[in-house]
Amino acid sequence: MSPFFALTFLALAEPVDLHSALQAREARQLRGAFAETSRIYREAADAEGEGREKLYRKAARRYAALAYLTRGRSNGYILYNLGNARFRLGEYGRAIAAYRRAEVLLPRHAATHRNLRFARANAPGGGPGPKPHPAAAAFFFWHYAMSLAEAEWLAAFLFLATLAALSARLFVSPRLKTGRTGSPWRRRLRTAAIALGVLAGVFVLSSIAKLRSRSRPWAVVTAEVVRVKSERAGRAIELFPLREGAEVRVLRPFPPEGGGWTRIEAGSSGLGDRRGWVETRAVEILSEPPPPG
Amino acid sequence: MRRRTADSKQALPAALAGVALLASGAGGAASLTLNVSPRSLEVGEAAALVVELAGARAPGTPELKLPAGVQAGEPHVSHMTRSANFVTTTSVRYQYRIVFAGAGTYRLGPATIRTDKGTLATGQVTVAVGVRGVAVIAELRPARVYTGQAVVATYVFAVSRKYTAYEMTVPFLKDRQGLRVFDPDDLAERWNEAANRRLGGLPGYAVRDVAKPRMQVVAKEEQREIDGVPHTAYVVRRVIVPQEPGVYDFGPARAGANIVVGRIRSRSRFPRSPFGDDLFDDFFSDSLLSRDRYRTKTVFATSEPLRLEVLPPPEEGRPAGFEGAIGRYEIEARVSPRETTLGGPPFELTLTVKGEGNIETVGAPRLPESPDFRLGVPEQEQKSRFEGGKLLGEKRFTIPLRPSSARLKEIPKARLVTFDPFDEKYVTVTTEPIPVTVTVPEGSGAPEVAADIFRAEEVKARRRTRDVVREDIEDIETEVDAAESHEAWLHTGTGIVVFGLLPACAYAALAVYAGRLRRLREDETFARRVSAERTARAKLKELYAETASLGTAEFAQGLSRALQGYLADALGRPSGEIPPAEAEVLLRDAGVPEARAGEFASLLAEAEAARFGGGEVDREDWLERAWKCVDAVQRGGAG
Repeated sequence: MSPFFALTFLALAEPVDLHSALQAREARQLRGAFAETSRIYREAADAEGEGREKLYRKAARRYAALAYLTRGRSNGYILYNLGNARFRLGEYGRAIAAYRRAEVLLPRHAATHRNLRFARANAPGGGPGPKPHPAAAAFFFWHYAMSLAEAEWLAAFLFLATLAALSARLFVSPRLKTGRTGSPWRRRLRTAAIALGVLAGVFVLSSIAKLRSRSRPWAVVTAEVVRVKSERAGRAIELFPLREGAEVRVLRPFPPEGGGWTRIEAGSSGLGDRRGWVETRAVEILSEPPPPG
Repeated sequence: MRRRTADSKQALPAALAGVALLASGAGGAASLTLNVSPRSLEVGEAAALVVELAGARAPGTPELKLPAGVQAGEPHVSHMTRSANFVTTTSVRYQYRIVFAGAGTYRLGPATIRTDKGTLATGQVTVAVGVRGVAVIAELRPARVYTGQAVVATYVFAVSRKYTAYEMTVPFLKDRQGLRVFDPDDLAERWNEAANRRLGGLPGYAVRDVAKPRMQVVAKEEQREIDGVPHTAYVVRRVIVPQEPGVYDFGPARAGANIVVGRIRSRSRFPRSPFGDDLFDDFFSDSLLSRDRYRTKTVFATSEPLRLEVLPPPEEGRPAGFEGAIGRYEIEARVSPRETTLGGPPFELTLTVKGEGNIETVGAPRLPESPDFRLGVPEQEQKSRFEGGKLLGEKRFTIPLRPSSARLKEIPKARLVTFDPFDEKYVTVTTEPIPVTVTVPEGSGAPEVAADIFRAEEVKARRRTRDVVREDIEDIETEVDAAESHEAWLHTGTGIVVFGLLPACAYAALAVYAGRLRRLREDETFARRVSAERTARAKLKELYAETASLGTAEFAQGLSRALQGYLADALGRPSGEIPPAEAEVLLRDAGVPEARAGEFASLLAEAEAARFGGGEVDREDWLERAWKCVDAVQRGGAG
């Protein structure tokens, strides 16, 4: 019995240790870069005029570069700080994009939500932003309060706990001392396994839902005004304008075959959903890493 | 606007009672009758008065003598022909619709008519007009106003009889788009205050439930005479201040009550007071102990819909300085003290604006700018009240006035421009100049100093009163630990393998292992088969170790038992001796090659022979052959 458990524990523990060991050096460098960029941001807050703008732009560029470099590790705080730097530069659309990326990773970070609301209120095209149905928000509050990684880890933990309960049940004799079958411990372990398994399933579904929502990307208008066209051509009919900060759904990305045009959907009108094409350079697509610089 | 309405559900049994008096000397054939239906009705209901002329011809209509308070319309004339006992009679009916102004007993008639058979007359008919029971009054005064002008809205629910339940619909209790509604008497607050002080509410007021909008109001309770009948009235008053021009319609006000019309006295458990005392009779007859119930009639009264027309103050003739004050006001100025020193305490100028109108629209009266004084930030207090059906208001502005020069001899006229909605014109009201004295203290650089002091105080005052509230984003995260936090996703290949597949495989292996353990524990045949080889080899090793000390017979017996025991365990046979021939067959059936099965049987037969025959045997060779036989059987699948 013991070799199986030992094998399982080794399998669980090894990747974490290896990861820590391999990333330690990189983490030190990252800490240094992060601290340096925060210092630049502070200097910008004390500076005036063009110097102030220059420093904020420098901080934003560095935060964006850090976010780009750490995209495999996806640090929400870097994205949050990037949003602040862009907000200070008056780039409300790009700030909203950064905050929304940070929000995915830091769903319970109150400052991110507040700043996102504030940026939306300041942006010319800012709206209330996408929100779940109130009933869904009330019932699945836990889903919205967790990041993808948290949901996945919870699902994994519950799955392992389920297997542990099932494994323990294997070694509990069904026979009582009296010779009858129906050990209470087997029943308890079965109940625990079912409960843990159901919970694990729920969090697996939650993770899948989060992954699926990532595959339906959003974009934020970063240009001052962008004209939504009926076709992928500069001379196509202009359907409606979108202003900086407007959040739209991306229906069909983007470059290679699109030639720099992205099909978007922005709310609905009397004729149904308002859809059209915008130049990709005028929007920032949230499913992609933030552009450096 | 005041109106009483009829209840369509009222239905009294029509009891036509004719009073027929034959006209004296008419010869029996000519008659004139007077009927009224119904004889008993309520105020506001109409009755039919019929004068019927039979057996005569009349050129005109009857003359009716009606008491004061009764109005009759034009008669509807119809001709009728009746046949009885082979005699045909022709008659003419004059039908009047009559309405009674108030409650009481009315004697109608007589009716007279001049006919070809002389003048005929009827007797009198008595009609009882009762009180309706419920009345509602809803009015807006005035109904045509200017923006900002106050409108007094009054709702009266009046009831003249005992009732068990009521319903009130007040159409103007809540704010609407463009209209602000408030209670000028703050009755709810005063009621709560009185209730908190355990005073049991306000005397003369009562809390009433309003059905639409669903809320409670504090209504003034008073006695009113409506149509000559005393009513208990509940008056709800609100002030409506229109914010935007337009036409606003209010649904009709409505009032209803279950009016008590009788008492159903059932067989109560306590038909009389058990104390035999009148003092307790009322208690026991009205209390829960009694089963008495009231017979009630539901009566509703509805007003006409209300309409409010709101106009903007006219552009034409609007003087400069008009800041939206609407009403008819007068203005009064007081200054205290009348004398001060330059740089000393300021004058306190009190401007009181009072009059009829919505005082909220009134701003501070303007004083002309002057280099001789500076005005501070005014403090203001206001109050409104109802008096004689008018909304009266008073607003007091207390303004510090600091002289900046000793040239100031008088406080100049204060000026207020208002729009008088009653005369529909703009009015400018002013105060009179008030003489004051400003002295210069000796040896001071007075004017500049005074001005500087004033400016500083003014700035402070402004800072106190106008705090700027701004919002900004939250600050960045600067903790370097934050840089290391990251999302470690599990939906990668490694994560799924480590946390999904590997544990699942481990569980599967554990399940197999546990199954095997359980089978070993529960299935003896299986347990023997599993341990057969190990047991046989152990016995062979034991024989090998003890071979020097054993005799031939003992060695042969040990070997025979080891082989037979192995065979029984491996093939699931009962323990005991297995003849060599049977052993060979069993081994072949188990898939062991024929040669090895023969070798096994041969060895077993030799061992059996040595066991009983004695003699010397090659013990090591036998043990080696036995070992190989076990190998062969294991490979053959029997194990």
